[in-house]
Amino acid sequence: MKRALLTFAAALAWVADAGASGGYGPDYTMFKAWSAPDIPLERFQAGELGVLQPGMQRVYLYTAWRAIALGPGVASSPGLAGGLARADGSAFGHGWTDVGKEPDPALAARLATLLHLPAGDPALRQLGACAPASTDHALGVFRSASARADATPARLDAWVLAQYRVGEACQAADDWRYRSGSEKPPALTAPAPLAAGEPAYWRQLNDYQRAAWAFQSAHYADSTALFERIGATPGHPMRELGAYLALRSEVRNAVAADVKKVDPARREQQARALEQRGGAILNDASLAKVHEPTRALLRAMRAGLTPETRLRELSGYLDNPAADPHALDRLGDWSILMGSAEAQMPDLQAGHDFIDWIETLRGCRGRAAAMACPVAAAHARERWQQTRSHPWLVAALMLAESAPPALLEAGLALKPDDPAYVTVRYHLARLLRLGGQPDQARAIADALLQRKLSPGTRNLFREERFAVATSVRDAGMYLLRTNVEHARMVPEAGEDMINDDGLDWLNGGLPVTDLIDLAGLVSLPQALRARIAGAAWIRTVLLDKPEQGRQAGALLAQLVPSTAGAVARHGRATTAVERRHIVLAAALRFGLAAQIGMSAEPVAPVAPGDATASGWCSFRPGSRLGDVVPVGEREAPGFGWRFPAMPDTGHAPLRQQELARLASLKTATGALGDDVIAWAARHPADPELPWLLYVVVQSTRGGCRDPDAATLSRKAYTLLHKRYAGSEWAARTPYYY
Amino acid sequence: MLPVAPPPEAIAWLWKEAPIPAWSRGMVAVVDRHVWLAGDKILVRPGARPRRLPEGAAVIPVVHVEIDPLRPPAGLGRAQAVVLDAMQAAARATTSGWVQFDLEARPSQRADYRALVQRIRASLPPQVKLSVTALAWWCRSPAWLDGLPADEVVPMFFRMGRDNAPLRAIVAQRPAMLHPLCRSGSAGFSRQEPFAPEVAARYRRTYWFDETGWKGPP
Repeated sequence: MKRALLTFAAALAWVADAGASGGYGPDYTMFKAWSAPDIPLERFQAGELGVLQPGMQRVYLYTAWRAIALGPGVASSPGLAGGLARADGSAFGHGWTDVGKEPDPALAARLATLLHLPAGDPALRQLGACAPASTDHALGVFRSASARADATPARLDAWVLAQYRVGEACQAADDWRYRSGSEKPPALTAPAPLAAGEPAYWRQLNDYQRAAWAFQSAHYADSTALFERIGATPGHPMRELGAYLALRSEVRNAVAADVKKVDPARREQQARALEQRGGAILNDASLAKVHEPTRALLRAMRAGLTPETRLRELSGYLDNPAADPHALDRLGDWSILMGSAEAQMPDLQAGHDFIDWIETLRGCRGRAAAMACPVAAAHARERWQQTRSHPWLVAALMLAESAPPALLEAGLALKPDDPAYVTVRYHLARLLRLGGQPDQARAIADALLQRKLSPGTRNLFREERFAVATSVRDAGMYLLRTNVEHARMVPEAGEDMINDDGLDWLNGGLPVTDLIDLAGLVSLPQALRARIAGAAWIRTVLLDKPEQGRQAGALLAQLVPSTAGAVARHGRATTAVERRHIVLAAALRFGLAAQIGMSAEPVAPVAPGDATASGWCSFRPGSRLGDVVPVGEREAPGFGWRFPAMPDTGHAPLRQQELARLASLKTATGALGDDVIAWAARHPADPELPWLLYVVVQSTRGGCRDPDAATLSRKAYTLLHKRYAGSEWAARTPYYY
Repeated sequence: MLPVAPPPEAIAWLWKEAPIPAWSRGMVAVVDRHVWLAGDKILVRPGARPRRLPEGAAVIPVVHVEIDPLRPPAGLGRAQAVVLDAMQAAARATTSGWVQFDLEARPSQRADYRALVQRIRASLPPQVKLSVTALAWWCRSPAWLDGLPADEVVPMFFRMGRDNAPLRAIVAQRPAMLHPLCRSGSAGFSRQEPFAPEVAARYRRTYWFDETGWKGPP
């Protein structure tokens, strides 16, 4: 039960963080270990915390609090062996299981004959409708019984039929899971008792099945009595289980009621009575096999029956960082109970410093945290000023947007072997940058990047280092990040993606000349260099910068030889209109874009039928590829989604001038459409025109559209069908949009 | 700023045990089972299954099928038996007469997805109504939704990823560009990504998602 409780809760936590329906596309916390550390749990428990995040689940934040409170000594503290994996549910696969097994074929065949059902009838699956452990136990019993000398077909049939009744009860209980208390489940048939003349062994198996049926049918008074009798019968094959299952039946009965409606004193009385009963089992050495399940059952009982009391007890225990938080799975139980303790939260925060610390950090975990975060930050700073403790120093630095000298000094004084060191150094770098001290920020980031860091931790320091880069090429060295989720599964995953800070810089922070410079940085992946060169090339024709166009084109042709023909045509072109047309058409052929996306696929020819004009939506400030909402209209992001400002790598007047011109352009669809319509008027014999008109129409179907997209679509469609009616591309364009 | 409160009689999606919002006490959509498809693996896990429901609350059990973004399965065919089993279990448990199938299929899985919905419909008792969620961009692609044998399609107008801005603009200002099934019947919204009230008001039935699991402020 304990395991089930933990597994279930951990699974829910995973789901809550994983999100829900509709998730599609980039998740902007993919570059940091937002809800769970990306450091192996044994090392995390021992004080290798990386950069803590407010979005981390409570079990991790408690573990971090404990490590910070204990300091370097945490590495030799109790509870480091596997406890956190039980507490967070990872030891149980976060609740995921392989698909349930089909019923045992021998059992199913016997039942099919008995019930005159065809093989594969859904009713036969009820044999496996109870919990897997129960089903496995039953199968073991059936096999043992089958091997006995007195195992007659009639006795085995009776056992199978009774087991079917038990499964039927499990199925009914499961099917009834959403019915409210006043609705009564359908009446079921209990397993028939065996005749008194049958051998004791077979009657005892039958007793057990009838007890199990009563339990699964929620006839707890009956099941308790039957299990008790089994436990009190010397020589009964299930004697060891009897007392434990009777207790379980009582516990189920006690927590089946809506406990919140029962007076707490009454619940406490019940809980003590159950503990007394459990104590009798634990004091009986002959029942050693069920001692551990009994302890787990009693803990789960407390969590279900007296959650408020249990949470207070656990919180009191966890107050002491020197105690083993995983003894009796206390941390796991605590985190489950905290999940539904909203009403108790103010008292808990006031009474337990570690809860206050955890909940203060978690106050900044929401996406729309702009409102809650300053309150949490002020509280953290106040608590640090009152306590001067390391945990509150960490919280104050984490949540701050600016830091007074005393806070910075305290952070700088932290020793490298302190568990909080990496988190604190990261926030020092961030706060120093925000405070206008980029040299100090750079020095901190550079020093930390010399260490072996987890992918999420490394990403964050690269992010800070990127923000204070001194040149285009310096920024390019820190542009790429590792997808943390990918790295959890593929440890060798590399730095090959670009986060929003990098996208803002590439798409709005660089003039063409710097893009060309960056594309020449050989330490960047070739695919990304080609994409950057392609973006620069497109921009040169949009801005009419022929000399830079030749430079960008030459670099592109060097990186992607298949583009050389188009680049050569561009080089021979004599007018701005011609150059623009050649580059826009080549961009379609090779899927080039004037803006860079979060990952760079190698540049390669696109199937002509799949080409669309999607090289940019808008160059207005803050716009990204595929996004037409200007940055000023976006909501202020929460903690998890905030990024350093992009670096200022110079050439601001030139960059602003270029962007101002680009910002006035239509979308890529509109720009291409206008170009193709005008080109068709001047070069009606161009053999590429039917395909280009097809692409224009297809491009108006979706994605980024200008207000006149419908007019453009119709115009291109009409021209295509009027002038090139017999072409393949006219046939492939049945509609305009 | 736009309002965040769902309209009266909206339906909350419940992803974990949490107090059910007052406006959803008549009907709530509970994630009943998760199925995770990762490469060749098929894993299952129980869903929220709240222990206590308000008296009289009708439940729409939801079967959520997650496709591992990094290890997507080659197709959906291998998952068919598991999904049908989960849908049938949901149908036995429903107290609303509805079950919901939630699978965010990839573009390459369209044919498999449609075949799966067809088989789900055929396997359910005729009196049980089938609701299917739809990614918002499917509403711009008739091939996904035309003739889908479901009693209800619920386009999810939130977490729309890269297409977010243009799709939001279409949903808000040019609903005629959406597939007919996405214009007025049912729709899903998020408390964290609200639209103007008149958008939700177009729909007879609205489902609401909450990033905090209905446990905190938006």
